[in-house]
Amino acid sequence: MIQTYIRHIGLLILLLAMQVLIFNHVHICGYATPMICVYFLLIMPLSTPRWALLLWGFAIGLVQDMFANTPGMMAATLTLVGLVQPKMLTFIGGVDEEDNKEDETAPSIARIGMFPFLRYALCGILLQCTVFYLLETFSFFSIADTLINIAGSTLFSLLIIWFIDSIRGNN
Amino acid sequence: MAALLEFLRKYNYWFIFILLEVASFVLLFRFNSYQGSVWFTQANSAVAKVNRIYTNIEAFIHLDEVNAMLTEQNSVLQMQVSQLREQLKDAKAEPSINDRHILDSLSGYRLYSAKVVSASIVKNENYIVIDKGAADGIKPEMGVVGGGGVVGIVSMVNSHHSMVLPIINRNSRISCRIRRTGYYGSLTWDGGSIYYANLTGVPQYARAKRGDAIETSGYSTMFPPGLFVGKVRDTKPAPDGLSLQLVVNLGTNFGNLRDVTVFENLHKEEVQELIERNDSTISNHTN
Repeated sequence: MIQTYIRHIGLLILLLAMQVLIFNHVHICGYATPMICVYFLLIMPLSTPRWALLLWGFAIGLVQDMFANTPGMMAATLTLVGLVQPKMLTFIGGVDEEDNKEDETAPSIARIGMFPFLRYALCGILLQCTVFYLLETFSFFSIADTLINIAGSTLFSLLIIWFIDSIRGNN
Repeated sequence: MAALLEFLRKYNYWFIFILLEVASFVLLFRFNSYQGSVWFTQANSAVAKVNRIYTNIEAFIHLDEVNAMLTEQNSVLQMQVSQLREQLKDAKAEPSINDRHILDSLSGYRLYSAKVVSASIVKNENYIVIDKGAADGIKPEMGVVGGGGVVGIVSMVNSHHSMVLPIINRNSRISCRIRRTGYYGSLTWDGGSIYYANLTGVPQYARAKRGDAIETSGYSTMFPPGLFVGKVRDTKPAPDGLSLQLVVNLGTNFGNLRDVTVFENLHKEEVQELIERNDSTISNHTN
């Protein structure tokens, strides 16, 4: 139990470090920036209380905001992701809500299958990128650029999260 | 109550969600200059609209003071003009006829500016209350004039307010004449529209036309002659069949009357005394 927590916290620190030290400085073709911290929310088990999801989302977002100097943007985004994460997991990830109420294992490719997990992760990441870029541009003036940003970042983030999840699954 | 508690317990995360989102957005607008400025300008355009309305109202309220000031100034200037005319008359050997006419019409009158504080315009016995009274030198039977023309006559005074009997009161009766021809009659009002009054007792041979200006005759001691009252709108024979009745479109709009000038005739007592002496002579004769 304690071990799980420690591993979780370790993962979180790793994710945040990768994000703020590496990925925040990556702008592929000036558009796609991977945002991987959402992975920590995505692998929260169904048994997690919803308020905990929200608080985690807010806290992770806030840390990321501090380093990226975008106060509030990621916090707002990840809080929203935290709100819808359980619903996404059941409706899109295909995990049965009633059966897994007490389930404390994290959703992963190994656990819910490759295709459902990627579908579920795609939705979460897409939501994150959409909200984040809309908040960042804060206008519909250059909507085409914003859409390219969202699409590029979503795909790139999904690839990296897929990669991270595969590594974790093998361990 | 139990249901409410159950509801709160079940959906508490919604409150947390809203709280966190609000906190995020506060951070977003507070510390991001771009988003902050967008929010600020959007919120500001709404605030600006409210502010503009407020400013308009404020300006409207101040308009009142400005108006009073202008009227005050106007009456001061009018007096100044009359004084200057007098000096000019002394300086010039032969003043022009026009100057002398204006001077003659205004000399012997003192002007007070006042503000309407209360008015009724929908009854048959209408009245207007102005904010100057006996303490300011107002006495009954002084003439009251507004920007558009004659308003009425002071009927009652107390220390700081006076009641004016306006033209649009059934008991009002003001001696007026047709400016073009000089025929005169009595201006009365019989209820109805506050924009029209009747000039009665005009001889039938006074060829009044629509559009003729009606002015005070100066036969009463309240008004100097030649003050504008209104314009003829219609002529018709009076019910008695002997005279003409003119429907007069009044120059004063009683609906929005604000600032008025009160005329004091400085020689009223003399005129009054002459009339009284005449009356007593007649009554002595009859006795």
